[in-house]
Amino acid sequence: MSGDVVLDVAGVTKDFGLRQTLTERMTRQEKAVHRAVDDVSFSLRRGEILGLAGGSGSGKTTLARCLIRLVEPDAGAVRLGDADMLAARGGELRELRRRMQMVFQDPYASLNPRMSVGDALLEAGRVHQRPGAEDGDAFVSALLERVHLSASFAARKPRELSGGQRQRVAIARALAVDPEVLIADEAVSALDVSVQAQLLRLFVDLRAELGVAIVFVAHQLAVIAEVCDRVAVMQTGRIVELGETAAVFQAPQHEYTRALLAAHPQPDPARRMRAVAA
Amino acid sequence: MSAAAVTPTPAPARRRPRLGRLLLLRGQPRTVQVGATIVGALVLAAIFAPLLAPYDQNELDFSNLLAAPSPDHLFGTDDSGRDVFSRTLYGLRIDLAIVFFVTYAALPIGVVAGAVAGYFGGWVDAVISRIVDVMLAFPFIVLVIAIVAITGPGVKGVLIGVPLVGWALYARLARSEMLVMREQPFMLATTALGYSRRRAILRHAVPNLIRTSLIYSTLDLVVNLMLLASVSYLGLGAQPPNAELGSVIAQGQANLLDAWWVATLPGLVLVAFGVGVGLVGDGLSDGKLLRRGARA
Amino acid sequence: MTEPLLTIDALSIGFGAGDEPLRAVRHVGLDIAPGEIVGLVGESGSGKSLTCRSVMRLVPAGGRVLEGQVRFDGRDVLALGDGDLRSLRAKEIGMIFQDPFSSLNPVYRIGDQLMETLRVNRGMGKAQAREEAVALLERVGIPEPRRRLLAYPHELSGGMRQRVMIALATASEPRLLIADEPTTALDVTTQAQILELLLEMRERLGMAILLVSHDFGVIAQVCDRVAVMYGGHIVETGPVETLYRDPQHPYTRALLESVPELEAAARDRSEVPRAGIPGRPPELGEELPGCVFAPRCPYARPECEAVSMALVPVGTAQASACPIQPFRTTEAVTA
Repeated sequence: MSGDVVLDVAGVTKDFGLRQTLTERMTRQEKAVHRAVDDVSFSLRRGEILGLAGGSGSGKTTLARCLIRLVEPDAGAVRLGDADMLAARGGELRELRRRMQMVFQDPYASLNPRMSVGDALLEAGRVHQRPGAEDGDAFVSALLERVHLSASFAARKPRELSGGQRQRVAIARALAVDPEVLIADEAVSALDVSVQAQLLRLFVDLRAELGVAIVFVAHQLAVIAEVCDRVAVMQTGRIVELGETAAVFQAPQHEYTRALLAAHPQPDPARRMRAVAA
Repeated sequence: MSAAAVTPTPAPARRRPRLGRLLLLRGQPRTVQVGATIVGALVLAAIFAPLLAPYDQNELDFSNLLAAPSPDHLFGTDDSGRDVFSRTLYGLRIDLAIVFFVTYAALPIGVVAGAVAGYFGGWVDAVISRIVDVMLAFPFIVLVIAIVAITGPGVKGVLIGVPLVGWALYARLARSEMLVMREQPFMLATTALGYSRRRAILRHAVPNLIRTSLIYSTLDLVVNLMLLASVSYLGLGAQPPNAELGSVIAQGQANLLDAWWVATLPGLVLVAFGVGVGLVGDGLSDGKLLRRGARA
Repeated sequence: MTEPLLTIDALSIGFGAGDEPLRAVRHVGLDIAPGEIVGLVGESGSGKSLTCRSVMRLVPAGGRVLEGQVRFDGRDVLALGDGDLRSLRAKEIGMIFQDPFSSLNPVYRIGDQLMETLRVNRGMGKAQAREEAVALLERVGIPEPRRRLLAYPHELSGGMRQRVMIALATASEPRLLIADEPTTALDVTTQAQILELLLEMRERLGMAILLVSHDFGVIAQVCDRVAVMYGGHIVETGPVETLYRDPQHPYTRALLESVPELEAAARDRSEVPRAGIPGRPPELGEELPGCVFAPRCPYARPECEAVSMALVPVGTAQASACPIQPFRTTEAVTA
């Protein structure tokens, strides 16, 4: 593994509740300050897959969104290569976002329902003037092939696809703009295990073929165990443990990590959390 | 195992072209079929009024005043001996043209304004929402009278006044939907992909927002038609002698007891249009029609 | 084996009117003994939720039972009149769902919802119902139950809401609890607590549980027996331990091999992880000749098109819908 850092995150902090959005005001959310992400730092190396683990409310999704400023962090620094992500504005920000792409959890909502697969892929390529995007069909079929879909998918609308196929399309759309970093926000959580396994394999393949670095957000520790080189465990906005996946899973240092591992439902009935009294 | 074997090839598309489906009304609910037939017939009748009308709308026949409906005069004649059927057709022609114009001029403006307000939030939203509030609170008839006072009598009052106010409701609908939609992953994705806001709103949000407004617009069509009729009933609409449904009905009212047909039959046409549009709107809100029909 | 409490026999459920409805559940048979926890595992669209809903006659609109029987304690559930059906739902079978938020009414306090159930279903007076409600909340491990009675659903965490749902569903001490993905919306630590609570409730009330889940890990934690569903069919049943150790149906085996495991953390990172199952599950109403899994099965052979999908006993307690058992020979040597 090469050691060059592609993404460097330092002291990122995000509070909610100080300034309320209209949605929050309308749903009458409490105005108390909630520190969703608390002084988080880590770095991501080229071609590395870093897992972000934690329960709901641990801040992992907010952190992921802070990285590309779907949520504006209140403090800290995010550096993509030599560029300062948080200082960028306008066209510069859009270009930085191109280099750091995101795949969302819900494959049923992450594609525009009114756009065909081909149109969505081509739009991404054309907006950022990617090489090859002039020749629409070839561009689209190359991307589809990359995520192991046949070229005939280009004409289909999202509703005609299964969950796993939609997620492949979402990944293809992210790849259309040649990102250096891919953020997979619970990207396999909503999928059935047999499809999930296919997608996990796809992520590992993409890393090998394209050298793309991946931030892999997941609440299922076993999924992280399958693909991640390193894992960061988050609890109430903080990273409580960060290390090589094998080391963290074999000898967890933090009690929260231990609790998560202990609660993991093992598929082997011989290793139940507690013996069933008949 | 080859990687390509992981996913199957899609089944061949088996859908008809959308327009074909819409026009044939095949597989649509019965209500939509009935409604669309009524509306379609009335629209065709309005378009081809000059061909269909047996008489000139202003042709007087003093030997035949207030004649009852007969094969010669399907809807009878009015107190100047004018053929009510012909006047109804011409009236419908003007009315539908105006009503479709004012409704669908207001809709895109409103949807885009609402989408912008919901997308940006903050002060942009505050400004647009306050204007919407003012528009919705404004007494409409007063506005039309004010416009008429400036432009002089005629349909201009409605042509200007309705879109001026009408966009506000669409804006409010679109804004509230946008507040939910902007948190949808596919909208977040437009930001993540580095698309411009203009593209995100116009190309990604609006086509998804517009459905609700299109459904609502069927209701609005009827409301606007009634509005137009009542405005010209008040004498603020189309000027005599040209026919306009509201004025035809208003004139017929004087003779309602001796010659019921003059006011009632054009009134029934108005009702038929309302029912037809309502049925189509019903079908649209069931989601069967627009999901396939709306353009991408 | 004792007389089963619940028997599902040759149940088929379809959608759409007319002579050719789209079949979502096909000829499913399942027994549950008193006090037994049976898991129904399968991926989305396998028909597992529909099967468990049919026990309560809660098949969603548009769907209907095409054939088969559901017998609860000797009674034909599908033929019950309205009154008997209501009393069955009220007293003898409880049900909890995936989303504990939407299954509680957001405008009523927890206490009011519990007390309503107790007063309507068990004919209690107001004061008595209040005391019983406190006892119920205590039973499902909710701290300060007296204060929680006044809480609204949105004031509780997901885990607490699911506990309240369990309290509601078990208020009349039913003999069978149907749990449809009860922990899917919860954090893993909360999930473990809820599963433990289910075990505890079984011990205390002696009730049977039908647990539906897409997650074999969840099933493995609590179930005595498990039925694996695919494409509307039960393809394999057996005690959870033997089924895990020695799956008889190729689908079960592929499913188990797809489940991600913590142990994978120790594997070499350059290695490609598990492959999943190629292809896609059959769509609703898709009619395949013979075995529904054959198109994705690595062991498929021409005979598979003639397979009836009837469960064939394997050993004493296991049964599989694969009469060919293509990996049996190699496996038998090592076993």
